[in-house]
Amino acid sequence: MSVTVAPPMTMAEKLMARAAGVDRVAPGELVDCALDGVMVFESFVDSNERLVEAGMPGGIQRLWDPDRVYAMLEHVQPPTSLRAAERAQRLRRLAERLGITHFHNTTSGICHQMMVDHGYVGPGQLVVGSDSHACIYGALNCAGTGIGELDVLYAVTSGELWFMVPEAIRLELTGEAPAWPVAKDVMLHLAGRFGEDFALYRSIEVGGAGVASLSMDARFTIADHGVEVGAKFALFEADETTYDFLRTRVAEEVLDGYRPVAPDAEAHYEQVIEVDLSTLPPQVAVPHEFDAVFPVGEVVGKRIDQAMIGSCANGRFEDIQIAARVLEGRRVDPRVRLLVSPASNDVYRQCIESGVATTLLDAGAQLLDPGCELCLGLRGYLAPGEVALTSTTRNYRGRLGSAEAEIYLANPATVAWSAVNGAISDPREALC
Amino acid sequence: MLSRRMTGRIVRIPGNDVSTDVIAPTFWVHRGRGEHDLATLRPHAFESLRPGLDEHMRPGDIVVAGRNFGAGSHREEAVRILQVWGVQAIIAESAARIYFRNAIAAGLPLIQVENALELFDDGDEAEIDIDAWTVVNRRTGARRTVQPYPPTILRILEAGGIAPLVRDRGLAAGDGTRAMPVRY
Repeated sequence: MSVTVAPPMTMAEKLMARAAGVDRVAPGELVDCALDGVMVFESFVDSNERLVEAGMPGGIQRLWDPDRVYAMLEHVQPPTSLRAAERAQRLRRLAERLGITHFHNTTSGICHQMMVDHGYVGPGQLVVGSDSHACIYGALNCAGTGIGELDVLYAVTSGELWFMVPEAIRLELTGEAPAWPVAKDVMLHLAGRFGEDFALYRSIEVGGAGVASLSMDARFTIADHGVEVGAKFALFEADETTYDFLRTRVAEEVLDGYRPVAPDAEAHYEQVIEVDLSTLPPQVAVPHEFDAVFPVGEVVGKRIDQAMIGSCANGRFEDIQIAARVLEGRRVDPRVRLLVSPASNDVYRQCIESGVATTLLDAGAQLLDPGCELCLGLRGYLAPGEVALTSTTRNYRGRLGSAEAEIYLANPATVAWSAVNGAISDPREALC
Repeated sequence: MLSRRMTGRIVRIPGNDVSTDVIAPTFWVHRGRGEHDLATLRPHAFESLRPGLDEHMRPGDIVVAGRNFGAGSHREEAVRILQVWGVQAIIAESAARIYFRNAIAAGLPLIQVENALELFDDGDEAEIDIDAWTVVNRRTGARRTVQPYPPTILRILEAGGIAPLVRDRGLAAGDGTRAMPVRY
C-alpha cells in the first residue's frame, strides 16, 4: 500500500483547506468554507433590505452565530446627513433584534482597526467583511477578504461562503526597515512595477528576513493595500510581533486557541518578488491610478493644497507619530490644509497621551475624529484643480470630491514633510 | 432566472482598472436620499469616463470593459446601477475580485473574455450563449469560447442571485432550525 504525502501548500491553501474541512485544495478549485467571523457596518441594512425585496418582508430573522457577526457604526459616524442618521438608526434596531453580541454603537474608528483593536481577528482564521480592505486581517495571519452586502447576507445566515482557491505570489522582504514608514512604499512600488492588477485573485504571501523589522502597524499597511493590487488575501506568518500585539487584546485561552499557518518550504508560487526594505526610496502615486508610481525624487516640487494622514492604510499610531516627528518645531505651510484622522479611538488616545496630538496642533494640523470619512471622500472635499497628497488608500479619479482634482499617494512622513514645504518633498531630508 | 442565451447592444467602457469610484462616485452614492434611490447616482455613474451615459443606456444592453473592471471599493451600487439601466450582462477582460462576486451575487452574469475591448465596437450586437460558452460579435462574426462557470456560480445565477437563494433555502428564517444543508 502506498502512502499519500500531502503536497506542499501555501498559507492560503492551508487556510482554505482547513475552513473547507478537507486535507488539501488546489488553486482554481471552488470550495465552501466555514467562517470564523463577519464584519459589518451601516451597509448591513442593505443586506437586510435585499432580502425584504426578495420576498421576505420581515428580513433576516436569525443569524448563524450572533457572537461572530461584528457590527459597528463607523463609515459615517457621527451621521453627516439625515440619510446617514436613518441608516444608523436602522442598524441599531437590526443589531438589537438579531441579538448581535459585539455591536459598537458609539466609540468610533475604522471598521478594520476596530476589528483588530478589539481582538476579533486571530491567526489561522477566515474572516470576511463588507469592505474591500478586509484583506488587512492577513497581517495577523488571518485569511481576511472583502465581500459585498449580498455575500454578507449569505455569510451571516449560513456561516459559510464560496471561495476560489487562489494562486499565490511570494513577497520576499529583505533588509532592515528604514526610519520612515516604508510599508506604503513597498505596495506603491509593487503596483508601479507590476501594475495594479498584478495580484488579481491571488494570495500575496509575505516572508523573508525583512519581515522581522516591520512593526504590526507596518504589516497592517501592507496587508491593507493588498486589494489595491487586486489580491484576495495578503498574508503574513504569525511571529512574536503578532503575538505581542494580540496578547494585549485577548485572554490567554483565546491566544492559546489560535492555529496559525505557515507555508510549506516547497509551496508553489506563481511568482516570487524580492524587495529590499533598506534601499527602497519613498514612492509617490500620481493621479489617477494606484500604479502610476514614481520615486519621490521625480515629483518633488509639485504644489499641494491639502495633505492628509489617516485611513486603514496609514492612520495608525506609528504613522501619526512619524508625522509628528517631522512636524516637531515646524509649521505647516499656510497654503496647505493638513488633516489628520486617527484610525480608531485607541489610536486617538495614543496620540493624545503621547503628546503627539499637541505636536500636530502646534504645527498647524487639523485633527479630525477617527473614521473612514477622510479616505472615502466624505470629509475634506477637493475643489476642481486642487491637489492633495495623502497617506489614505486610493487616488482614483473623483474619490475625494471633484473629478478634476488631483490625488497623490505617499507614506505619512512624505505627507507631513510636504505639508511643511507646501509641495511634494523627500522626507529623508527631515528624518535622516 | 438566468437567460441561457443573451443578445444585446454593446456599450463599450474603454480602458483598464475602471474603479468603483468612477462607476459610482462616493459623493453621489451617499447623496442618495432613500434606500431604493439610485436615481441620484444614475446621471453621474461613469461620469468622468463617459459623460451622458445615462441617456445612452437601454434595457438589454451588454457592457464590455477592459482589465480589472470594478477595481477598488466593495460598494454594490457599482453593480446595481447597471441593473437599474437594465444591463443583462457584462463582458470584461477581467474583473476585480469583489466586483465579480458582487455581480454574481446580484444575479448579473459577468463573463471574462480576453481582449474583449478589441472584439467589440460600441453599438455592435453581442450574443452570449451560456450552454455553448461562447461570446459572438454578430456584426463581425468574431467568436470566442469562454471558461464555463463552476456549478456554484451557475446555481447562484439560476436562483436570481444571493437574496432569492437565501430566501429559498430558509437560511434567514426564524424557526430556530438550520433549515438546509449549507452548500451552494
